[in-house]
Amino acid sequence: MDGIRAMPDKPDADTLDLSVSNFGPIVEANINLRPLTVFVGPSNTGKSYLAILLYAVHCFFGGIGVAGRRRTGWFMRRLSRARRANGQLTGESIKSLVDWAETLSSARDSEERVLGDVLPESVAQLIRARFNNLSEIENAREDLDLEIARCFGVDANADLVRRPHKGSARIKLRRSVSENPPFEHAFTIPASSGSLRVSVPDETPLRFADIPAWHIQDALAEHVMHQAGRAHEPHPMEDLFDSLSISVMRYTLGPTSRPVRYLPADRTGVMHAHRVVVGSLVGRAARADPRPDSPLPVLSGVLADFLEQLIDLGGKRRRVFGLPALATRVEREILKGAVRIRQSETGYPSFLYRPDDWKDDLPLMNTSSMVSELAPVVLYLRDVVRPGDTLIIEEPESHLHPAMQVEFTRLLAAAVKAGVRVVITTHSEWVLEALANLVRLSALSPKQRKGIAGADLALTRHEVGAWLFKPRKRPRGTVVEEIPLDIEAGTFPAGYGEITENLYNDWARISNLAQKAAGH
Amino acid sequence: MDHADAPGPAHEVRCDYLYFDDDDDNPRGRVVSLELKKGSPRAGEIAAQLQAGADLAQRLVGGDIAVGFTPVAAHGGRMHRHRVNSFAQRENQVSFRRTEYRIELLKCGASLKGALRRSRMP
Repeated sequence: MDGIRAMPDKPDADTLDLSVSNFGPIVEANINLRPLTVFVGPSNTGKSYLAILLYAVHCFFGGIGVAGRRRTGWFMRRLSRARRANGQLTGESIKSLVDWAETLSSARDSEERVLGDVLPESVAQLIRARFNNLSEIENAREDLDLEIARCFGVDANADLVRRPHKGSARIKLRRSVSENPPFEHAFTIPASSGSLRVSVPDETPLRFADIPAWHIQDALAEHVMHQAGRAHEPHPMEDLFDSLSISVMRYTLGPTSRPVRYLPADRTGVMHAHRVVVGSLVGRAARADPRPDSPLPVLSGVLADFLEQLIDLGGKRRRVFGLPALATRVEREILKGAVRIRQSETGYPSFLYRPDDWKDDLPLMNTSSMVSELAPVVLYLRDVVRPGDTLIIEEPESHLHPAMQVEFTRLLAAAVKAGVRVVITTHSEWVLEALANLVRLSALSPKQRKGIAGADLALTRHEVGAWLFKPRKRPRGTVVEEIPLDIEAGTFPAGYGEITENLYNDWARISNLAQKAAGH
Repeated sequence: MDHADAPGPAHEVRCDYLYFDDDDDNPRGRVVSLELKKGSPRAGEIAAQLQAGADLAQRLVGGDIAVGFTPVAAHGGRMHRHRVNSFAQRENQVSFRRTEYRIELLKCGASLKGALRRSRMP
């Protein structure tokens, strides 16, 4: 095997790892989630399962965003309520908080946002004490169960456990910061009973993600009033502590604390048939007597959220929140035309496409499948997805000519460069080869890259992770392994090479026999 | 073919093995010109080596004996699609008794016998 040189993919110090076992078809998976994460492998090996799980985890911890309206995750809501239940801070704790707030508050403009400072140990201890009790937060685990069931569209999460007799499915999210012990957010999907556990090691310094300076200044001003006996309970520092706890929790969760969007594999069909689907759901929802032989239709959470997002795009509140430059790039370089939304009086949207140089719009159902495929991507990039968000796309190659697959892969790299975290599932060797080229490109200096396709989009190997979902016979199920970039093969080898070789060998045999038969 | 007693000058291009197959499945017999590569094989280089094997086989086997021929490249590497496709090009075919043969690819560790059976060469 001398000819093969693989680029090792050692993760950065600041990483997010997802470990999953006994879940759906997956026996075991240990995945380092990078800015661009690729799931690849044969059909029915659990790529979408893991992508939906990731979506559910994001929804629970971080929340989802619908056209600029953020829906806070259940976990943060529970965390916020826990403060009210847990009671008051001691006098000594308040003093620690006031000292910390005064240090931060001085010489800051009230419009400023205070970012990412390390908390002094006196304050960090208070936060750790709260986090250690998180497993006892009322209903948090039940909320998590419900969110997972909603995203998968199952009645009972036990259906998602691979081998119930072997116990629960176990999921662990680990966020490492520098060389310190990682934060861990672990939970089980119960075969019988579940758990939710948060571990914030004493040795790992705590930072907060972001707090507005005015919040700190207001709390201090109210503290002075409180000392003068002119403010009521609870102490104003309780409120600041609450915000600080949530901000620190966002830091421990990293990207999982940010909104997530999911573009399901059947998005093209939804773009064509969303009116019919919504009409059917509304019609049946209004029925007075649900009939046992005709139960209410159920959509998975990923599909329902996608539909809701589409409908919301037609709402009058709609504002541009996303990355319009990237959306325009997709329209200009791939679609060769513009995607538009026409709002009806009720706010229900129609999606239209106008090819370059045309004067009229075309309804999406009259356009090519490539346009229907990419229209939601354009709309999401233009109006919804923001830097720091996670965008999960199932099979971005669907309905795209290989040249367009390569172009679209470069656009995904551009989204990563703009700060979006991207997770894709794929069966496309073109996508993998285009990614390999972008990673290999990072070995060149900017000057050397000049004139090469995607020169401005080079990604380092720490930014891209490709994971192979491999079926295994014993125990039967899927294991997930990282695919290192193979420099000799010029791709992240996912087994497609064997298919190419087999096809070639068939061709060679047929040709040799044909030549012989022709009497050469 | 690297043996000291192998025919032909040692410094000339040659294949790794010549395999003469005359089992029950193939009563006419067959010559296999076989080249082994640890990594990812290059079609042009391998074709030259397998051609040397084919030329030697033509000298060793009398012209009056009916025999089939299969050129095989066994490799241990992974190949980019374009490299696999290069094996299909005309200049990378191997000539034996005025017939052009396309090289068959075999993964190291796979069964040569099985591959030859699948190739069904007369």
